[in-house]
Amino acid sequence: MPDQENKQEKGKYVGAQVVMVVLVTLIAIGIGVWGPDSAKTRLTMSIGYGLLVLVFLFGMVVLVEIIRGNIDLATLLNEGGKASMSRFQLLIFTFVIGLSLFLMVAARPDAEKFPDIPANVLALLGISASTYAVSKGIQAGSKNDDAEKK
Amino acid sequence: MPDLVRATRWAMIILLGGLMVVVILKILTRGINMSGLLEVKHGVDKESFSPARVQMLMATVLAGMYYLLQVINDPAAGSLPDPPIGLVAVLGGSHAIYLGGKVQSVMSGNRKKTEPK
Repeated sequence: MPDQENKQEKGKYVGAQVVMVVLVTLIAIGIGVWGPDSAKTRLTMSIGYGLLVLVFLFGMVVLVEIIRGNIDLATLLNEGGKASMSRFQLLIFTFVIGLSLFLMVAARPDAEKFPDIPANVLALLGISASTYAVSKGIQAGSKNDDAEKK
Repeated sequence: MPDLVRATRWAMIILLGGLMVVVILKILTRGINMSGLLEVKHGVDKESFSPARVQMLMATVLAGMYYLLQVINDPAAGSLPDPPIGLVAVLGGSHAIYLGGKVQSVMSGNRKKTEPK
């Protein structure tokens, strides 16, 4: 029975993906054929909208599956059964930079380019990410030592 | 073309904003396990309270809030605010203390295991 449920679930996913691809293709063709301006602009627009819809739908699938619990985030901050500080700080930094970009982009709806990212921000993210990596290295080293002693 | 730019902006806002909200809600509703966040994980002091973790948590949260306030003060700037070099140094130091504490606790654990009983 579980095999049949898995097959049905997989069938739903494949169906959803086919619908997405068909939708994207129709949008791209619609813009390419009936869109305004020159042929070159229409081509750019149809590729742009097609990619945008595809990326958005893939992102939404992931988001919906997280909300439904099919993608499990329970161990997102876990390291050996306990919450990890290095993971948590990396999450905070990622959210701070993400939220900052979100606020800046939302505040300038007519801006034509993405906000610049100064070198010190990259340094902050670098410190945060390398702390996580070094912490993981220390942990792996300690596990190897334990295994060798046994 | 401006419509495509606007649509891309909104798609990004919905996806990133949605992901952030979902993760924060999961943390608040205990869908993401946060137990043992401030405890030592190795060594002789295993499962005891860890000041190194607390100072890193405070430094991280304060730096994050400071940075977000800078953005909120001037969200229409064309570039993310440049954090002062002092802030980068403080965070670097805080993370170094945390990693130093971790190395120390792992080494103390290893020393205890090799000691003759």
